[in-house]
Amino acid sequence: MQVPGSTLLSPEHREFRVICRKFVDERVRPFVSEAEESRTFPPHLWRQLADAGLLGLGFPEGLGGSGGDVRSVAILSEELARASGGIAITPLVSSYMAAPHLVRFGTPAQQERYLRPVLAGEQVAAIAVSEPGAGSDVAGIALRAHADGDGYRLKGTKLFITNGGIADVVIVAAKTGDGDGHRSITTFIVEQGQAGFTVGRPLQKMGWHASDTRELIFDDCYVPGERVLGERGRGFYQIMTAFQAERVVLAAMAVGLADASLEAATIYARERTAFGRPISTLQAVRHAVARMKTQTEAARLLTYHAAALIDAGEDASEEVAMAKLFAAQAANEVVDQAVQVFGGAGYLEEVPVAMHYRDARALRIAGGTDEIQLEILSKRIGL
Amino acid sequence: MTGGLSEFHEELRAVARKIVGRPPSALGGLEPQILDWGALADAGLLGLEVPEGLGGAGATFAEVAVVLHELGRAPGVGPYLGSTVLATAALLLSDPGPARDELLAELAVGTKMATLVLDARTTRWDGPTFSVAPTANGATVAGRAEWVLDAAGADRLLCPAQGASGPVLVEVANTGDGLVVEDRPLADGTRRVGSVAAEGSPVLAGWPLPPGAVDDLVDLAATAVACDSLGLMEAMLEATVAFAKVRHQFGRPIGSFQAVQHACADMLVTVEVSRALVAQAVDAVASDTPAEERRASVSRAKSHVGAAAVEVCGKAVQLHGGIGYTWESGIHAYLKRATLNRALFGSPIEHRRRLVRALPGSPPC
Ligand SMILES: Cc1cc2nc3c(=O)[nH]c(=O)nc-3n(C[C@H](O)[C@H](O)[C@H](O)COP(=O)(O)OP(=O)(O)OC[C@H]3O[C@@H](n4cnc5c(N)ncnc54)[C@H](O)[C@@H]3O)c2cc1C
Repeated sequence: MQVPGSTLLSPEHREFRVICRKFVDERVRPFVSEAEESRTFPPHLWRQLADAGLLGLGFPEGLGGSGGDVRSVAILSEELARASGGIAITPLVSSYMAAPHLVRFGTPAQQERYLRPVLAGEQVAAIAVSEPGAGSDVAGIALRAHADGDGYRLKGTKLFITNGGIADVVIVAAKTGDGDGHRSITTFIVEQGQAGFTVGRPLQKMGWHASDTRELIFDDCYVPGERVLGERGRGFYQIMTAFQAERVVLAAMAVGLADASLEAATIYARERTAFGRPISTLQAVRHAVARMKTQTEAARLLTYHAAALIDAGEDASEEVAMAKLFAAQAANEVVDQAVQVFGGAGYLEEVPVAMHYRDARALRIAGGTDEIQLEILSKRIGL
Repeated sequence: MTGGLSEFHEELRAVARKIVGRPPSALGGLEPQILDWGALADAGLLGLEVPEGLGGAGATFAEVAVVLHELGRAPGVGPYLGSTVLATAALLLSDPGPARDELLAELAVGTKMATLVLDARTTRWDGPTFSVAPTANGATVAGRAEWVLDAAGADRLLCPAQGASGPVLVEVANTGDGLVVEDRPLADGTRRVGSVAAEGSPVLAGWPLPPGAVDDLVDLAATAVACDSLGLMEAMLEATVAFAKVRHQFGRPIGSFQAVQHACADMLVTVEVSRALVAQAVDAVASDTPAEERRASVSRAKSHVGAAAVEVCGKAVQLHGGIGYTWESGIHAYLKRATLNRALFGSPIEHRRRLVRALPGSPPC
């Protein structure tokens, strides 16, 4: 197997990629079409992912973690996404977008009760920030948490919540004060099935069909005080901190989708003939594939670079924003070009590039849109 | 364009929009919208090109283009392209006679649907994939074609076929007599394509195909698809600008952010360039423009508009944020149709090739 981006990876990382690829080829690929059609993540995979140590990467072993670092998470994201974006995002949200809140800000009791089962694949987690009125503008959320005795009552609606319908534990961002959102948001741990908490029907999406996305409705849902996660009023900063690794995951998913589409297009270009010769002999096609490769590799390097900086404990805000922006855009261009190389065949539902095409689009929106990454960068540049 | 014609086109546009017009969010459901075929028939929109004597309007492709544009603004399922545009155009290229006239009259009032059995991935016709064999009391046809638009729902299939003395267009009933028509699932739910396999299907009628006729039909089809893509983009631009005015983030309309403004401005430029190219192609197809000039116009339009529509619909998804990615907004349906349109009757690459080949002294490519 060719090892991409090797300068930024250790021999362990490369070995880990081989393990991931094998896992995905043997355990995930056979279930992709069924998961896409039934619009459900194959539930039996949770256990297998956990047993392979793929749900606890980068977390302390004492908490149920399995070693590794942010680059390992990136490699896993990439490899899962090569098979299916919708399947990939499901465990990635649970372990690497929701669970980190518990790792970083949870009390030992909260970690014991909520984190351990998630890393063991026994429970699923979700992170609920976005609302009908607030997506890019996290500080603008409206869901309220009113103090009530020892706890709080949540009232409001969350939208676009990945794993919303299958999560046992949901990290919910709510406003606990009247002031500016930056200083008045607190995160809470909410359990599925709790009184006052209901989920809407699965939202139908352009892609990520195997992933469950929902509206969550909180109607005076009581949350006891011991389920405040982190510090009261610090929720905005907690969310921003967690965004770092989350965006690396999304960038790496983009790399995986691009890589899978590049591979498929390469094979197709060699096999397909037109005007009596393989289309790979036409410069319009061969140069397109060469460009796809360059874009994929550039996205990969930016992503690994951002991940390596986080692993080294350095501030990677700029690199993360660039990686998320560039990788998502590159993936969209690469999958689009792959559809083009496939011609009409790229448009048939059963062809993987058609799925990657639909899946890649989410990456320019979820986890902070392109425009928001550009805003982050503009500010960091000092504009 | 004369004042009279443009007034007529405005009227036609209003009639068509009244029947098919709806906001993109109407496409947000799981099931695609179905075109109201009866209403289209009642308004005379199925027989625009059919001669007046046969119950049609005796108009030209320029008028059909107005309807195609509206259908792009609000895509729905229905064989307008396969039946009303392509089958009708194929019949109009054939010699008049009772069989031809009867079918044209039925297409015009919507009591029958037909399609032209032509691979929708074609840019240049490679000759018939069907052949006709005489029998004791008539003839049968055999052959196969993929990617035939609106095949499954057609009552009549019009197959370009090899006859004893050259290419002919033969009419076959879609009744299963030696004929297998299969739908293929597409990522775009608003268009239907299928495969057609005939093995000794009885021929109902046949007409000699004039030289170059099928290539002319391919040009017409490419232009029709370009009209559709223009409609898609226009609707996406309008929907996005409207959304940017009402959606607030960070305490103000997202339309106040320059990133959003400039993206909308780019969309507008793309739409306007496309509009000009499509108008030229429609004009070339509808009038007696010399073949070479017409081909160039069609290729200019199709190569640009095919890619431009994907770009504009993609920007619409982006500017709608998360809601653009869910089905509720209906935007996805536009992006998918634009992507399919790009591949129909010549991709941008193929049309650019054709443009290059037409340059004097150009090397083969
Ligand atoms: C498939 C999917 C899964 C998701 N999963 C989750 C999840 O698990 N948890 C969760 O909390 N959220 C989730 N989201 C929500 C996601 O984070 C938001 O959709 C995203 O942040 C954008 O917010 P919005 O949809 O409200 O768009 P808006 O914020 O309304 O943006 C609309 C448009 O305006 C632009 N815009 C906004 N502000 C600016 C600005 N200042 N400058 C320039 N342009 C601007 C945006 O870039 C975008 O193009 C998910 C979304 C999707 C599509």
